[in-house]
Amino acid sequence: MKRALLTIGVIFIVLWSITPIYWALNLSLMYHFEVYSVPAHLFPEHPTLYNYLRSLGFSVFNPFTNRVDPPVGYPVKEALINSLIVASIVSLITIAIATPAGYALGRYRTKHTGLLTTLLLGSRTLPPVSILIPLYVIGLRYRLIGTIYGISVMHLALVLPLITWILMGFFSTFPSEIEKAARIDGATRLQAIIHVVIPTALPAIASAGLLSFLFSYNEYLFSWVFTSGTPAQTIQPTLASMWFMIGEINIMAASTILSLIVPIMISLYFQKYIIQVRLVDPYAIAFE
Amino acid sequence: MDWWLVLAQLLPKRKLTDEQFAIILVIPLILALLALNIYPMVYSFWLSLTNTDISRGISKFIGFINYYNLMFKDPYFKHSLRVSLQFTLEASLLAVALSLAFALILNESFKGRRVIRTMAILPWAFSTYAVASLARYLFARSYGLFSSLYVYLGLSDTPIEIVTTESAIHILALLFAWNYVPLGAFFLLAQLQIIPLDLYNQARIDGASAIRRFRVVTLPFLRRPIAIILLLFTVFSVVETTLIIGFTGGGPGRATQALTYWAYAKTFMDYEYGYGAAISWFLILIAMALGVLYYYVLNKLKL
Repeated sequence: MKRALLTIGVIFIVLWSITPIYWALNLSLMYHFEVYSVPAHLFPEHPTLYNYLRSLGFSVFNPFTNRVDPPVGYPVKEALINSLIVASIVSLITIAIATPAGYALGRYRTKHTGLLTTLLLGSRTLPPVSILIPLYVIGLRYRLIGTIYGISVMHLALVLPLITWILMGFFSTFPSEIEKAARIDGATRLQAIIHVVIPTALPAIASAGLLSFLFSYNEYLFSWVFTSGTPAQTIQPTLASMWFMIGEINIMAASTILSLIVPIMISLYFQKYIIQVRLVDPYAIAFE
Repeated sequence: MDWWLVLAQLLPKRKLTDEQFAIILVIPLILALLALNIYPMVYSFWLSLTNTDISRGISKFIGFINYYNLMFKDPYFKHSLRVSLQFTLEASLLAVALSLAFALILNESFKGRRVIRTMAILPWAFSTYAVASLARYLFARSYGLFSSLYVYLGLSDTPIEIVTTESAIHILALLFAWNYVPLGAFFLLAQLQIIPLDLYNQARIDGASAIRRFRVVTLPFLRRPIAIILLLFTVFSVVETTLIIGFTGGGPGRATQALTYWAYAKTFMDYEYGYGAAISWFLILIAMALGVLYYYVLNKLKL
């Protein structure tokens, strides 16, 4: 009885998690004519990488129309590269600012830090739309629209509070004994941080960096407003702009799948850690 | 090594107190927050007190007129508020229920558990826009899985429209749950793993049934974590914008025009920056109220 229930539950989890991905994968492996057959085929009859190659900027021969089809008119490959660059910049800057701040806030709690931590927490509940307009105005003034640096700075507005909060939570439970031992051996606070704290905390700092990478890569709204239609266009707004060529859903599905490769790799990394390190969200740690 | 270390080198070579040291480490964060969060917030509040409209090229201080118009004159305000409320309720309750179910299942031992856990985590890593896209493939009329299944199962001769004025909001809630359940499930799973096994064994010796063991042993440990993820999911769903933009664009008709989407549309489609800012400040107040309410419930009532 219990076994049967468990089996049903496990099957449900698999179906729930996989179905949307399976369906996009299915469409992405079809030629155009097959996508629009009614009812839709549950598996591709002529599986092909045609859509992936066209998304990535190649001309591909289509045996069913006997034509060489040109690359898709959307910069999917360029957008993926832009996204990786932006996400790298964002995670590096975030770590450089959030590690010392998170350490200080986690280790030295004084009455002045209360306001700051409340602010960090509050920023997670902000509707993104509310800071989007002012940041857009700032962006116009400092020529940040349509540039890699511009969108990176804007992503900091969203990622920095969250990652600082997570590192603060981490450092507040981080054992201070080894640090004290280093201080007794004559190290200054700064030396203790550089030679003892940071090396020990490196896995957590790396996880936080990877998390900010993922958030930046996945962010849509700011990216759309700041980069769409420019050379700096990142992947999420590119996927959005492709809905205008609704006639080639197979190519869109392929581009969506391509955009999911990085998140899938990151989730594979995190499944080891997600239970131990509480990389959940500021609220969860705040109320624990 | 890091630029903040260089900064620290420039300081006078006298002993700093712990507090001064901490402040130096926090300064870069404070500067970034001032420029990227606080200034924009203040600016957006000021905008909400003006009638700024880019398409008409006007920008004048009008006090709280936008808020007055929003609450008493806007023909869509009540509708949007109701959509937001329904979405928040459905999405967060569904996400919490599924998180709990997933956590309990993934905590059992069965063959291939590692693989299943890896699968279950996937949707967490996907962007909200990708989730909306995947859902559009899945729920489309002509090439969608579900409308095709209707045909395969003989329930209909031709593919049917799944996303209708009635169903759209429920499907959005489902998508929100799909995106956020891994977060909740793994959070609860972590809590489940700290429950001492002795308690279960003791309960088993005392002859407690599985359901009773869950009620008496498991649930007390989960009450607070469940409240926490309920808080997370309500706040996230109140401000969720991308999912609506990506999946329905507020439609069909205005069926999924939640307050967040309304703020977005007023600002970036009608270019009424002032009015859009007023709607988003209304949302901020709701989110803040929720935060305070939960803080009180969790910390004062010792749930």
